Amino acid sequence: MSQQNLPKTEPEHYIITPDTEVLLERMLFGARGVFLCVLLALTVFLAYNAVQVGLDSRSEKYIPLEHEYIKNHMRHANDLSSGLNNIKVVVASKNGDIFNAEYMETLRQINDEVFFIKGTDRSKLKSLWTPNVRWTEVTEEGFQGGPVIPPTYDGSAASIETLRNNVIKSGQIGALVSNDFTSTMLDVPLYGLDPDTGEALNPQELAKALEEQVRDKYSSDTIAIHIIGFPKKMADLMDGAYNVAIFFLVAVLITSFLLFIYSRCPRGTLIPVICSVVAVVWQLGILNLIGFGIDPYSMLVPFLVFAIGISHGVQIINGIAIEAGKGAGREMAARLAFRGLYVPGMLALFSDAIGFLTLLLININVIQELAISASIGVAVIIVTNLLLLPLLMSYVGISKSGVSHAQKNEKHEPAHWRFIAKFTKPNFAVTAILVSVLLAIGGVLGSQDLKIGDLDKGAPELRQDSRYNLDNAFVVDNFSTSSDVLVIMAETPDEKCATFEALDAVDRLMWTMQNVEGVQSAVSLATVAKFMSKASNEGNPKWTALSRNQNVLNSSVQSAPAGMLNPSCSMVPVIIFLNDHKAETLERAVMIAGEFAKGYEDNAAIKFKLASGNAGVESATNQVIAKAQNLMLIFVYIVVSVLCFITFRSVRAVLCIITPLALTSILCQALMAQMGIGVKVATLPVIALGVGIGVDYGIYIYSRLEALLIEGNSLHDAFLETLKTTGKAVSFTGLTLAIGVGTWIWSPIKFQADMGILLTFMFIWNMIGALVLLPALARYLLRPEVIIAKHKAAHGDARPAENF
Amino acid sequence: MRSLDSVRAMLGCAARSMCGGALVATIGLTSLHASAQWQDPLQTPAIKTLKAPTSLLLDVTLIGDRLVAVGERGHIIISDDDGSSWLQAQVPVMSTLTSIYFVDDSTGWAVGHDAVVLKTQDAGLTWVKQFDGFEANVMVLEQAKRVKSQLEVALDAANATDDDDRIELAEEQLENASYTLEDAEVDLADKSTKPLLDVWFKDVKEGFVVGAYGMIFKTIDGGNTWQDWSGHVENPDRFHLNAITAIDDQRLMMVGEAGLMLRTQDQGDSWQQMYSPYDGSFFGLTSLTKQGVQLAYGLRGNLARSDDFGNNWQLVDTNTQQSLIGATDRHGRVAYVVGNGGAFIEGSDRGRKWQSTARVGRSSAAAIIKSKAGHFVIVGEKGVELLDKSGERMSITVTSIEG
Repeated sequence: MSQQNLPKTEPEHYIITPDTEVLLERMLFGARGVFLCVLLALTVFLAYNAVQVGLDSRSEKYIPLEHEYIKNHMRHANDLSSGLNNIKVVVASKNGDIFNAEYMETLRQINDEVFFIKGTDRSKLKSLWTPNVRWTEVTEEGFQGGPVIPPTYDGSAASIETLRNNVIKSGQIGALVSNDFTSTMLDVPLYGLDPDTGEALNPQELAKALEEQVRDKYSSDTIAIHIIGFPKKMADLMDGAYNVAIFFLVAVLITSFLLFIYSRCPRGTLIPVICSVVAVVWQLGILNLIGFGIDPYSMLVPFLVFAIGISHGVQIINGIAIEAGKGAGREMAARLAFRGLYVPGMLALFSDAIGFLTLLLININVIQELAISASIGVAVIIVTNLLLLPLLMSYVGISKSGVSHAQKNEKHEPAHWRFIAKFTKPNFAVTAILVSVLLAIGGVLGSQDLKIGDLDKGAPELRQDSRYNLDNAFVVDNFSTSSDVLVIMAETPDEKCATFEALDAVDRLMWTMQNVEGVQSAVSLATVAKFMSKASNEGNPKWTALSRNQNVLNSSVQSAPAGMLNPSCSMVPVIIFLNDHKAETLERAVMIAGEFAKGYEDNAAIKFKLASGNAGVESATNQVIAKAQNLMLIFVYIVVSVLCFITFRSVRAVLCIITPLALTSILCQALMAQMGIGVKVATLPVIALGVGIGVDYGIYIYSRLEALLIEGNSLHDAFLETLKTTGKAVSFTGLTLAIGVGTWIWSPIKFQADMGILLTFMFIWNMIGALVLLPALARYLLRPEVIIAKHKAAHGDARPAENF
Repeated sequence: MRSLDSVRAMLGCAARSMCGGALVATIGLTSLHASAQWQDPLQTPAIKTLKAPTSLLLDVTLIGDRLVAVGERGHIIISDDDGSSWLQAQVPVMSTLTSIYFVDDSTGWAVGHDAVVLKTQDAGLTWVKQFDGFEANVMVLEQAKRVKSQLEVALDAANATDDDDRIELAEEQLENASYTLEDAEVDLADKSTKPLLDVWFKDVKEGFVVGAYGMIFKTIDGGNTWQDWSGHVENPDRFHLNAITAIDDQRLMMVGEAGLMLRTQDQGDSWQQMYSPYDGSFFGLTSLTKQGVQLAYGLRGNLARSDDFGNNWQLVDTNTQQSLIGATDRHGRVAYVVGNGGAFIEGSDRGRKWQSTARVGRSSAAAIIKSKAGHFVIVGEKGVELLDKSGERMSITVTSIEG
């Protein structure tokens, strides 16, 4: 079929030049077979890679490595017992206290089990049954002490009584023994590396061993087991992540079903689904090729890629059906659909990709990787759904039922479209604009208390009612430990960490922090030194102070527990326990600590560096996010605005397209504030994704509307016609995207659920905005006569290409 | 996008210290002091805090209707409502304070670590520093030199007598004195200080402060000048002096480390050791004036009783194994003693019989006093604790007054 036989149409907008465009279409359809073979080969190759893509659980990905706090933390990482490599197993007695033979026997068995679990640092394992847990007492002769479980222990009432006294004297109440004596803890430090393989310890294997050999085996009517600790949390997260695969299947099934309802054509259903799955395969394959893995955040990307792929596929199927309905053959219908759609399609996908790339501004690896993998994802859609899909369709063609369904739609003017078209009339338009203004005001007011960071207690990654968080709550309630720890690193010259000046400064920092709202308590080498001063003076509380005698200080340093100073005695961690990790608590604490540190910047004896501990890392993350948040929003809006402007060459068009997005962004923030979802690593990308993808609707609708206006239709008629074709596709797209991410709402991982809620909200609101607010704005912003004049000047009398 | 601006404003705020001032103000003056370079605790005023009544306190006393308590980090707090609300006094040092004593309703002294002596003349509201460990080091060194030269003379005299026992004793004493001198020199050079542990004044002019390693200083001008008094005390091993108490106009007693018990019958001009029934440390001393009974208490629940000014001391059973740190009496008759691990014992039968109970929470206590209202005010590691007459914890929340 020669070029001359094609209907004489001209795309209204070009990506490069009119000549190259025709060339592209000619090349593609001229050598359909070759292209298909190449794409097939690529798919096979990438599928092979996609299968190998691994789960990436490196924890440093989640933190802003360039932040000063994190650099300080990394410098001392080896000396800080981060608490990251530690599991706590709590054995709770369900009836009565722990002082009975039965409980102690169970505890002994559990102690033995844990001792042999791979990864346990056996020499540092602590429980009532380990010999390193001792009681001490000051007597006339000095210190006296022994293991808490008496050597003569035989389970008799007398030895239980001795045990009870030893426990009280051991100072472990609140630490290894709960405050109410109904549960005890096994403190299980781990080797960072698997002793067999020398590789990083696999948290999932460890968690599985704990679940099977401890929780399942010993939970009973009388005993409850609670397990917490960073590796356990990671394992639970990774377990939860696997559920996401099921969500993916569910999303694919629902989408296929809807697609069939929409197109009434099995081929028109199957081909877009196949092409979108191919897009996912390509995306995963490329990820593996460039050495990326999948993490709980970037798991979102395949969903998005699939949904975006479907939405673009639908547009093309729709176009093909309409052209086929007008009598075009298989290839011609596909060609015409391709010609009409590749400009808005590519524009939409480019704006998606560039929107995602603005996430690179945030200096947190996991977000940057998400940006890259999402950009790759939409880039491959250009190939799979804008090229591969029309190629495939040019072979299989649309079924008769599909064609007749499309034709029926073409003639049919459903009541809801006629209603929505009224938004181009002044009354409706004014109402829509007023309502939008009100919503915007409401949104701004509602988002006043939008917070940065995680707002929930416990492990915010998991749901509040997850087993891990219930276990964590149990431990926090029953033991005197907080899971929110801020660590300030006090640096001194080598071997000078225990000078009076250094320790006194540390003590002042501790006291300063203890006076900050939200701080529970603080511990450091100064605490140890004060305690040792009292203890070595016969427990007389009047000696609870730092000695000025260096020998006394040195000896107290020698008896300090591990982790209170580094081996070269040049760094002392000041450990500050916080009530929670709410953004205000963190901000307040690091601000006061920062000011204190500033006072010692020029001090030769000691300097204070922020910050480690989960709270330190989190506040660094919050700071990075707070700083990047506005920048990213501004960038993403500039990018999509510029792209729209380049395409449509009209500020008025840009306003029509962008305003509904801005409204959605405002409402999304209000939603976050009202639902208690903070701006955090997980939700920040949502804003960029929401805007980047949301702009698609506007672009498709505007593009079609403009073409119809150029043909001389009134705004109302043009918009009604737009709705009947593109509007249908757009609303379908909104639905598909919402379903794709909506399944996430049921994810056991809290931040995935948050992402699901917000993205679903944004996709649906962006769609509504494009259908309702865009025409209302068009009523007052667009001047059809100018658009027609512009078109004439550029293309003469050629009709604009149909885009559907 | 207004909300973003507000967030940014909030964070911009964190970056600008001017704006941060508003937050700092909410926690008092903490950061203002903190942001200055490190200065010696003796040169640094105590930080204003609302946490003083709930952190470590080591002594409490009653003057008129007012309770005054001292504790760590230079905290001195006063209460005019029997201990339920407390106001922090102005204190020029951050050193931990161990003991407090008033001679009348307005004049009193507090002592503590770094051998600091503070004086108030307005019933505890404001305090001035009168003496500290650096001055003490100079005096201790001079005293050590003096003793050593005296003992050198004594050794020469002994050598002249050819009396071997006397020579040996003199040599031994000289050797001890040499060690003492060395220690004093090291302390002075290293700026190492030692704590004062108790204070007692006869009147607004004359009084003693006592403390670690046998430190004792006397003033006769209300604390303006001090004199090393260790030469008047029979304490050759330089044991800690933990407590000093008046028995009557002329007679005083001190107790200390390793069972040390001392008395004076001449208002402190000369102190002699008494025979001690116990090798462990005594931490405190109480005189039941109406009954003529003296009680010394200390390590692991040990309590010694005398009713003849220390000619005879006898250990009595207190029914507790916890160390006893502080005590008070009721109208010079019944004694109440508190200590570590929730210890709380009440004496009867002129201090012969003791009933022991454990305070709720089992915190360690350092001192106890009866308030004007009749309930007990106990201070210790958890701050102020209020117990009713029967020893039950009262349901009053101890609060801070901002001042």
